[in-house]
Amino acid sequence: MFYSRAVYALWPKRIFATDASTIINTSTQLGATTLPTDARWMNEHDIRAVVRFRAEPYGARIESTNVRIDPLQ
Amino acid sequence: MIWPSIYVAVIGVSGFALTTIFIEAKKKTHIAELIGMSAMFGCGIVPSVMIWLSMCGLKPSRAIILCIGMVCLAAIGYRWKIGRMPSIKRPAVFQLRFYDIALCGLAVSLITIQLACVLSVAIKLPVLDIDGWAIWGTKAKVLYYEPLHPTPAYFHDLSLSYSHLDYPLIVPMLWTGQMVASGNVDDPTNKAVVLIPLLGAMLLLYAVAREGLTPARAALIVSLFAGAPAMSRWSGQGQADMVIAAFILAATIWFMRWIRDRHPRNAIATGFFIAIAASTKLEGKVLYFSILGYAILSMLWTLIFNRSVKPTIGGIVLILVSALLIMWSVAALESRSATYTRRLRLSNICLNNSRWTAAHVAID
Repeated sequence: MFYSRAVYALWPKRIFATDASTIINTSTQLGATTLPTDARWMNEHDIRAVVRFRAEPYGARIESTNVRIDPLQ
Repeated sequence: MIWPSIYVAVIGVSGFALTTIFIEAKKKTHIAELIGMSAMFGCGIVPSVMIWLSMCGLKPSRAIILCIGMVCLAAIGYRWKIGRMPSIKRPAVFQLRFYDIALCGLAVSLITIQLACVLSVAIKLPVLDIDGWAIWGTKAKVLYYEPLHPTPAYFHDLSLSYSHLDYPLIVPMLWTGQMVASGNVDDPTNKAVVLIPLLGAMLLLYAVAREGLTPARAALIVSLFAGAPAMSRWSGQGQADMVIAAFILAATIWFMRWIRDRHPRNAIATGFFIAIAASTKLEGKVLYFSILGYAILSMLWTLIFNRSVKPTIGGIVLILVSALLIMWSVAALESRSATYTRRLRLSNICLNNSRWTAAHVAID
């Protein structure tokens, strides 16, 4: 829910849960994805932050890490 | 507020321009049918034209909306000049009975409550349903920011396949038009424009019901339609369920007329609406192929047994118009990720049974 809602709210800015060739139709597929970690890929897609969601008994914990963009890379 | 009103007016004007072409000139027509049919034609043609222009590389803009309006105004002016405008039927005079007044009061109250509910949801609240934001809202924003040529990266991104990448674009483009007009892409009131087909369908249903019923009974039928679960649940959320029901209703009306008089004009209008219904939601393809199947069988039957050419011409027109519109509307978006046919099982159909109520009321 959060993923689809965030994609809608932020568009044309993007949330990348995984690369563009991985099908995400269900929450199970979303949970099975791996975050893109390649620095060059992140730079090419102008990634600004990595956000992690963790389900907890009374809600979710959200952790955000800013990503440093190196213009020379 | 001015530009959103202009957009709504352009939908009405463009729809009225088409209505004057398809409704027989000088024919006495119920005012509800004129307004309802104008709304339905407008909601079909305006987003279609914007999709076609977007496929040529032109993003929706206020200039495009104005141009569509001006062209349609000129067409109406021309029809008026040559005396080919439909005329409005004078309201019939009834002897008022308490029973009719009570029935009419009940129907009007139900319709008013229903409209107030969906309008308040459309104007006051953000999109609350996942289909509203994931399928239709996201596409509306994509169409707002990028033209369809070259195809936006969104339509190739399988990590967004939950949003049904290959779903048709009539409803998103209708919504995008309002985004463009208001100038605020995130304004929650933008989705209220999707209520125009609801109003159009209600008026059409009333006009059709009035051909055989008293005003009170016709209004009661409209209240049943407006109160159907699909209408109350999804109409204000910018979704396509109610829109497709409205297009199916319009297609059915023209199709019945075509069956009755076999006039090519009615075939063209049927072709237009079945193509628009199929370009609104995938369920519209059922109606599309059913009507095309009937048209082909009817053509063969009359050619073989009656040796008559007139229905054949109408049938060919119907098939050509709808096929051309379908090709234009969906050519850019080939299927990439959806597996709908595999999911078309009895259990899934039963899970969605509430959606059928509106379609049934519309068709009945």
